[in-house]
Amino acid sequence: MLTREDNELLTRTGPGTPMGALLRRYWLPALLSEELPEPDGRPVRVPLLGERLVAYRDSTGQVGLLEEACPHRGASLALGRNEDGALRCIYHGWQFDRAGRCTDMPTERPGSAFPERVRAQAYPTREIAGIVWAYLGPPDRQPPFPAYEWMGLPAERQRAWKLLHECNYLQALERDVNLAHVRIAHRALSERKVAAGARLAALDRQDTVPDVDVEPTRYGFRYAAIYRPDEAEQQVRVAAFVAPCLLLLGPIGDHCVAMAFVPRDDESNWHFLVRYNVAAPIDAAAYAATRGLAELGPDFRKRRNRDNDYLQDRAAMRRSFNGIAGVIVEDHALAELQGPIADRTRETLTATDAPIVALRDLLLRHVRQLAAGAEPALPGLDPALPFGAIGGATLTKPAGVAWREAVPLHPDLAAPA
Amino acid sequence: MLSKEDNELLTRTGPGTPMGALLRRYWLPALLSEELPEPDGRPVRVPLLGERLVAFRDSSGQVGLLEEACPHRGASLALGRNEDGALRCIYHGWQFDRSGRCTDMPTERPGSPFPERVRAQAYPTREIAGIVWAYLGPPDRLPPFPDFVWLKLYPARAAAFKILEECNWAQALEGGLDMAHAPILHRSAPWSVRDDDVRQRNLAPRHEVQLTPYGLRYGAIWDQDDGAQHVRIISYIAPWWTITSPGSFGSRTTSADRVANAWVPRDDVSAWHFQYYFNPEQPIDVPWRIATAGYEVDEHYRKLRNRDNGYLQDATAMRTESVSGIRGVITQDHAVNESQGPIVDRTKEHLAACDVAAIAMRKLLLDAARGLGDDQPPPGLDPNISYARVLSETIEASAGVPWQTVGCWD
Repeated sequence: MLTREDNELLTRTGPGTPMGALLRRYWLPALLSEELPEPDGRPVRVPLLGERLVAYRDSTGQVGLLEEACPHRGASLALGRNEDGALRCIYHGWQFDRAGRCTDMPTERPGSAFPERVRAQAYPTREIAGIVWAYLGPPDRQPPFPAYEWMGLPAERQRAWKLLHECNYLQALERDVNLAHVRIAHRALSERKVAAGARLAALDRQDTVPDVDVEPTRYGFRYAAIYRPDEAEQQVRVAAFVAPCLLLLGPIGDHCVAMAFVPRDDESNWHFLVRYNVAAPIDAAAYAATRGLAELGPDFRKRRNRDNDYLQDRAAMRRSFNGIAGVIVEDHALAELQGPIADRTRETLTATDAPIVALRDLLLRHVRQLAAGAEPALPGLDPALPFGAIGGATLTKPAGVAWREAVPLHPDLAAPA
Repeated sequence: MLSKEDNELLTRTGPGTPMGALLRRYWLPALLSEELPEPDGRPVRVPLLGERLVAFRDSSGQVGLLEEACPHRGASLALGRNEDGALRCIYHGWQFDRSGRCTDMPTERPGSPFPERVRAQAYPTREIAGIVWAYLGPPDRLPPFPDFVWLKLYPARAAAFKILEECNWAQALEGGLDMAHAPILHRSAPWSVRDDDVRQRNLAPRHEVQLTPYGLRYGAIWDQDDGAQHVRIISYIAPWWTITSPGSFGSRTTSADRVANAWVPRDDVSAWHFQYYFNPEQPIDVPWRIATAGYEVDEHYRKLRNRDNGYLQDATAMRTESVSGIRGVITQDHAVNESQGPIVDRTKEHLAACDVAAIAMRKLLLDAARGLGDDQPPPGLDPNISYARVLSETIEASAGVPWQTVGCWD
């Protein structure tokens, strides 16, 4: 449970908000590369952290990210002309390059000093492995770009998607740092088992009440769920939360998933998802089909969404716990139905929610330090961190071995004692 | 750049706002005559200045304009029965005539004095040159009706149009007081191609403003190599009229065709854009104008190319045909104005030398709205102003001739 004030503090991310300031200290996924298929193509609106931005791929193929409103009188640069290495407003022809420099102002007379005095708000971008990343913070605080494990993989071993997630970013993160929901919410039975009389609601506490643990790290924390805790051989899932909004899940087999929930505004977020396999090609089409990623509208909105109750199938609920098809759609439904911004003054947390508490504590601690004017050492910004070694694990272990020993953390990622 | 307070003052026009009080002192275009094609026909909702109004053509053919909500319990009179010279609410049958008098109240017993004590809010109307005009201000301040030149030219030499513009009225008006954008936004060639038009060759003319009793005149001056000047002069008539210069984009370039525009707030995030396309000298070609301007609207006067479909901006056309890739001069104007957002944030703009007319217009309106509190008369309502002589010009002037003296009657 949080106070109303802390709930506001954690969930408001627009310009000028404390949490907005914290998030703006990190490189964030902003859009997919495929949204900008070619140089000099159509610019794309990118709402991000409550700001109206526009992205475009300039003549050199580089991606620019500018405030959507032209600095002159605020017409949308999303209607602009993308050519000659810059974006030109169609209203008065003012032209701005990726750095925000005004490269032409045809309404000014020759020799005018005015073009040099006008700048478009521009943010630095990096494009890697199908995602355009952006840094929206103070220029003098720009951190090193993190090189995660999937970023060095060949194209056939990783694929990125993006979905519009219609709720505040934090409740999406909270859902997925809570591993206990997986074996309940996503529980399903085969038709054969249903026919044999198996009941979905016959829940085995060894599956639904794991031991849960959190290990602080220099990037955020690792969190673990230990299933079948009363048995000699235990099933362990470990995942990583990387500040401020990234989760690294898996591997299950050799397959991993990285997910980021980046605020679009305070009542929606961009859910970025990367499926990757360090050892072998992935079947992106099959993955998309089973997860519900293949059914997005042109605005990245799910076709099964809150307006149609996610097409929940009551008849299918004999074999599917929630009656919604597609794991990602199920997940989105859970968080979106909490409302646009979950009211954390009215919740009831339990032992398996420990990573949620850790997540809030970590964010609140740093957001308060930053707001107090201190320059805290923020998690995950040290250039010496081995970002490629951050990840999770899936394993079985004997009851006598601690999970932290079974899956040792890279020593350079360990939090100072 | 404006302060947040001045931006609010300029853009908020509902009942009780200072700008709303100023705008209510003028006769305003309220709807097209064609929306009320016959006596006793269907009433029409008319949102205006943040008020919900209903217009109806009564049995005598006269147009009434009432508050939409029935004075009884607020049911919509737009659903009402239009008959017997009045509008009758279908809820309890209360009936009101054009002047707002309750002419029948069937739920009261005979002899009840109650009907005489209930009035519908009614506003005076005039129907002139294809438009129903209204006055929404204090009855004792009713101004003279302006004798604009184009009203007398209707219908052979003037045509009236109405288009919903989905943004605040003031930013739409600013677009109308901006000659710098025309050879850019409206260019019928890609950016890299310029034709021989003087405006295309030099996108940075001088922009100057001349104050007048009705508002201002705004001149854009293209200095030629031989010292001569190409000058285009447009008039701004307070509070919302502009007259484009002859030969503007979307007009017949070789004629005296002009456009008079008015942007009347519908609410604070949309405006009714009224237009008269007119020519004082010869008949106009209405089908040509409709095609060129892109005047294509649905039954609610909403553009078919609108913000929901990205104005059907065509990336290929941007390479081959035009700067904007958007078809129709009106659509192009509306696209940029609407793209500024519902109410543009003027605390974040960077005004340049080309924006002097917008700056002068804002000052005039802000001063007038503030002055109303001190009982200062609103600009342009002096009955001695001869609106029949207010026009716009496109001229070739000799070196040294000040444009301010050309075509100015005052």
